[in-house]
Amino acid sequence: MNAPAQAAQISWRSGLLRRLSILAVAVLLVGQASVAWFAMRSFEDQLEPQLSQKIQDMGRTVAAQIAYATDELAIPVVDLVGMESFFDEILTDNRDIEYFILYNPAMLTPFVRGLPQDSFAAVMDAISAQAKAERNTAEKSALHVGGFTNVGFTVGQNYRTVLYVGISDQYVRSRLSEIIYEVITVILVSWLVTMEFLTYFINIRISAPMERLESALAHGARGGFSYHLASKTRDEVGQLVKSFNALLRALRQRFEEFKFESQELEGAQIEDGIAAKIRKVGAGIERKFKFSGGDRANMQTAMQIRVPLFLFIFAEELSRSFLPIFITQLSPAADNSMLTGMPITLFMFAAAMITLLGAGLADKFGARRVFLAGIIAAVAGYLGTFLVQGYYDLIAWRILTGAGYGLTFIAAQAWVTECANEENRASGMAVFVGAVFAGAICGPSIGGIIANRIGFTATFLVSAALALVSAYVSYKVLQDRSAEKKTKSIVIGRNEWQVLLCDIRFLAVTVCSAVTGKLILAGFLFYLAPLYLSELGNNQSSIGRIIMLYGIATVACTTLVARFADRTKKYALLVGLGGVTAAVGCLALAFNVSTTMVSVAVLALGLSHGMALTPQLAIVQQVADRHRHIIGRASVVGVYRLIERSGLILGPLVAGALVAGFDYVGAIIGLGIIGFAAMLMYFGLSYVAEQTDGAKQI
Amino acid sequence: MPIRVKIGFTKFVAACLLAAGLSDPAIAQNATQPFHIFAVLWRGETEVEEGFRAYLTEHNIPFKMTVRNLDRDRANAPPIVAEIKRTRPDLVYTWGTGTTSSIFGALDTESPQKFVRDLPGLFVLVAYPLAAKLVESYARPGRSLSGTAFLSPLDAQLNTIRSYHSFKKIAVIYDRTASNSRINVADLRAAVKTTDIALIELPVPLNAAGKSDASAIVGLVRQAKEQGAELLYMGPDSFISRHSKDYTAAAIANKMPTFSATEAPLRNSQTMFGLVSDYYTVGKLAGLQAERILVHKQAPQDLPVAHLSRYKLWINMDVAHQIGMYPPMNMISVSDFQTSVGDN
Repeated sequence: MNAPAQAAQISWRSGLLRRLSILAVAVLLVGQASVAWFAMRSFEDQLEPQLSQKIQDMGRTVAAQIAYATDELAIPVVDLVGMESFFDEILTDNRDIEYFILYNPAMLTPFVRGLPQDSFAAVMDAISAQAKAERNTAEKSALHVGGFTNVGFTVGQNYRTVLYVGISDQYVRSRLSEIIYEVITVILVSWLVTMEFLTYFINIRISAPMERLESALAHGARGGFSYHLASKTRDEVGQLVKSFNALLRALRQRFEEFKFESQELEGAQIEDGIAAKIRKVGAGIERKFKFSGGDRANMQTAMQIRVPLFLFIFAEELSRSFLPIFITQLSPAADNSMLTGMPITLFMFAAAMITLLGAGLADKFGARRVFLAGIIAAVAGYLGTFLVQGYYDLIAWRILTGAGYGLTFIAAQAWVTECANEENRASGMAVFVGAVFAGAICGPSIGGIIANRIGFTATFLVSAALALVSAYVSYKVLQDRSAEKKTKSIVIGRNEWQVLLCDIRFLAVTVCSAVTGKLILAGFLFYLAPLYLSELGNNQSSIGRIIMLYGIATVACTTLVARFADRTKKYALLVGLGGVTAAVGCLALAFNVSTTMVSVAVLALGLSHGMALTPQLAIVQQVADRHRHIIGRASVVGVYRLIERSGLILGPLVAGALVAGFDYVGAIIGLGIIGFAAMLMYFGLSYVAEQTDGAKQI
Repeated sequence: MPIRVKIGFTKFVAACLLAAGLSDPAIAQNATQPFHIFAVLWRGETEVEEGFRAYLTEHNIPFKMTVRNLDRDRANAPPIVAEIKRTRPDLVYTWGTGTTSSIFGALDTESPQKFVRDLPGLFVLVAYPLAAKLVESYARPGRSLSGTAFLSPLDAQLNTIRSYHSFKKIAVIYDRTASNSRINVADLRAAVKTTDIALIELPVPLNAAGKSDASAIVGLVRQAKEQGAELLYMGPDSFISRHSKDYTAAAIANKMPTFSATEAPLRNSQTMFGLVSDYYTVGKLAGLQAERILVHKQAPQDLPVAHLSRYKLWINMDVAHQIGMYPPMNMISVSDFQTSVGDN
């Protein structure tokens, strides 16, 4: 019975979804782009006059304060005290003002604050030239020098004392591009969310019932009319399914009538030969057509978990781009990098422990209940984080959220497994992985934008709200599993461990590739990158966008690599290449330190995982095939996942230790070296494995 | 776009914020029965009483006030105490340490019958109510008397001094016969230990009558200068306050800046700067305390002595010019400026 399970695929095969998606996205894009364009235009139109108005207000106010000191209090301008801290205080509060200069020809050195050293000479030359040319005018004309606009304000009655307010000509441009980036991010994410929901509804409401119908018809073509298709909906498809069920019912009815009549006829015959013929014909018909048995098509599809899972991952990923920064704000010792990594590690640890110990929960209580329980735990964690008092209760809330995360994970995996059979296990997992990565793209970017506006703790409130929406959808869409269908829970005994840990190929792919990959993911992307990007002066929105690159690169690369891998079967090569890519991305920071280089490293990590994730699993499956007489395939994958997760737990700890020894850049390079060493080991072990395999074959 | 620049030309802007909210409208007492407040003052009405009256009027608290004046002499107290005992007002208000002690007596006085002990009391302008044994503690006076503290905290004073200029050595010339000044100097000695400031203590020598000798002040100022002091500190010292004109004139002659922790020397002489309570604001805070006692029926025994949360930075620019030491810009934008010498 593979029809319902097939529906779990994101069925691009049905042209309907493709067309609808293109249409929806096109309409969305046109609408959003035009609204954004108009908004940008009016913003641009307003920004410059606003800025110049602000400079006027600022210049007049500050000049008036200085004039109060020089004129009212009669302090000679050269004897003014504490101008530096006076200017600095205003500059820290007004990021759009670049510098102040208080100039009087009588001064040996003017009071200057905030003017970059390389523009100093040019600006001062222009100012002293102006002082000569416009000696007796109250209104000084604006000077454009060295990429700055200087607006002069005379101080008090003395036209020769001038306060210059400087703004960077880049300021307007950078504000505009920042907003353009945010708009593009929002458009991209709303597009993704639309796609998620559209795919979801088309699959559940149209594709899945249609495919069940299709398979029932195929059954019919082979003479099977025993189906009863379940349908709860009252929409067009539901009506169709009802009519189909009515048709089948009518057919069964008629067959029963026919059978009864033929039996009557048979009984009425005196001659045995004719009776036997009638019986033979009847038996023939019963052989060719199957009317009884009442098969019911299973309603459960892997796709049903997709949107709830997506929303939940979205909620969790909202804090991705700022969590380490938030932790340092609460940390009792902000410069203790181990303390910063600890909440991230403990989150991962809680999630891993739950997946390890709670594997049986989904069997016992059903995937739906476990999923809901996980969300409730996570929501409690988010609300606790919203009201957080300090570092230690933050850890408690993160552990609670991690436990919830672990629960939803095992529930979702159990759900997908229940729906899957041998042929479509991969597509079932694709639903799972797809939801995780869609969340990983949407979460950090939107979370960054939200945090930039409403702050860190309030963003956790948004996470709680999103998780509750996920709970609502899963409550509505998922069913409690039918009692007879039970998944075998995976039991991993000492024997299995022994066999797997002695398999060199398994060790190579698990420890050298998967664990290292996750270690760099948690150490670099979850911990070091946000902190370092923040140190480089990026705001939360742009940090979120850079973290988002990881998800985008992974998804794009996975799609491209999947085809190549299936064609060439060069799994080991791809895994190795992936590992090297991540290491090179981190090591590149040794040559140039900038926001762009960090973005490149994030991108490289995404590409690396995109290359390696599917081939890793393929190699694990190969290993499983080799040991299929001893261990079940699910157990092999289970062991693999378990070991892989240790990388997530170790990552922040290793990164924290590296930061303590070096600095952020040093720590990222350190992770790169670890990644590189692991890859050398991977290639070495793979070579050894190949040799021994060859030897065995001889 | 908001502009965040401190605009501080208006006088009293920074100073007029109180620790406690002043907005709680009181429930007016029976209009026919205004509260009877009996005020005993030291040297006539000041801005404190003005602020006190303003608070009660703004909060619609009906009151009538009887005002008596000790005229700087404790000997005038007994008949006033007798009058208070006879009229039994709703609240007794006293100005200054001398007045408060002579009306209410110390906690451990041996002759409590000579003082007002059983009526609610409220003091203002007492620098050291603990040392004067007027209350058991700031948090819980422990007798039918509470009040308002008025000295700015010492660390705030030292911060003000240091932000004006990086003074390294300061001198305090004080009246060793007055407990207020002795306590102040001891506190100051402890407070400078946490800073890089060195303190020179110069008690005024006593004359034949055992009182501090005013004629020695000018010499002490010169002595401070010779010992390397860069600033003269004036605490709550009524002797120094009384002679502040001579004192500050000598300081200017020696090109030495002066700092005061109380308002009188700033108001009455050539003191360069100070961090002080604004009398009017202290009066308003006293009004709030009176409201708590009269309207909200809080017992003074349990009513903590109230503190101001902001103090007034006062700079006399004339003196700054004479000394040639100007305040930094950040101070200019928040200070109350005194540019001429007020008369007494």
